[in-house]
Amino acid sequence: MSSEQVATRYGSGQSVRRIEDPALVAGAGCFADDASLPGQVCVCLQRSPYPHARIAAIDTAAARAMPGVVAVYTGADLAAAGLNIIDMLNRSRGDIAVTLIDLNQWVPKETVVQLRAIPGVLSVRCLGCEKDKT
Amino acid sequence: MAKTIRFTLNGEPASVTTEGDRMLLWVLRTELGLTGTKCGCGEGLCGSCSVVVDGRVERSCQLPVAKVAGAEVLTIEGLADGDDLHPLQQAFVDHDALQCGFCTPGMMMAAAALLQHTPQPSAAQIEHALEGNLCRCTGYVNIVAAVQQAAATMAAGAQA
Repeated sequence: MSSEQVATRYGSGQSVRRIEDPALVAGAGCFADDASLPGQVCVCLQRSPYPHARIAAIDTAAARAMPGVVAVYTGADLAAAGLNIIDMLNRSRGDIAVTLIDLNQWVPKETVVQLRAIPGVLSVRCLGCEKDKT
Repeated sequence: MAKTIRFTLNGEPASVTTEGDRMLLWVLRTELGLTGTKCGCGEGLCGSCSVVVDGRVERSCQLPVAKVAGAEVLTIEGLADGDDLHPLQQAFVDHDALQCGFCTPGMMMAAAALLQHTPQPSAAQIEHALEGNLCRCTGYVNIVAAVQQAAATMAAGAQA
């Protein structure tokens, strides 16, 4: 490679300005949490609070009964669907419960309060709610 | 119960009808569509959701929207002057003070609040002002340097 080629080639031997910075510093970056697509739903992960506990059972009835909840999956559901991750998860973290909340629908505050009151639920986040209706 | 809350957002009047104890962060990101303010931890620990309210830096994930009624709220979207980057934004780019950029809006809002009341901060003052803002990519040396450059740029601009 000639010295001229070395001097003009991209990526080595010289500083390269990042093309993403102007958007990122303006708050105009698009991280996954920033996207809002038609029909988008939001996932909440509920992890065992015990690193090495044996899970006897997970009762998802209360979560499933909540308005706006699309689906609730546990590791057992994933295993039944042929996804062999339950053993892997159990080795370190125990079973895993996943709560999906459709936040294209308005969720009453009482629902959030009820979700938060479920034993073991650490946090309930409302993202992408449309304007509250009264 | 939902109520209408009015405040000034990035220099423009804003009005939302929602529950008053809903956190400002979610109102900004959903009702108002301003996703520049980030939810890092949602528990007031990481600083990613920082905004400036009446000149003070606030954790918007812990600030009920009712508390900003009548206040002036500044978010990352209001920092630039049109297409011209704010000196803080330019300095962050110049110093490579960001990598993934997730903490950057909150970092810059905390710095903006600092520079409003302390136009020429020492490195120690900058570190103190940013100690509640966590960055897991870049380390803080370049961030402190960027804030120092922004302070110098703004001081030069004020004299010009």
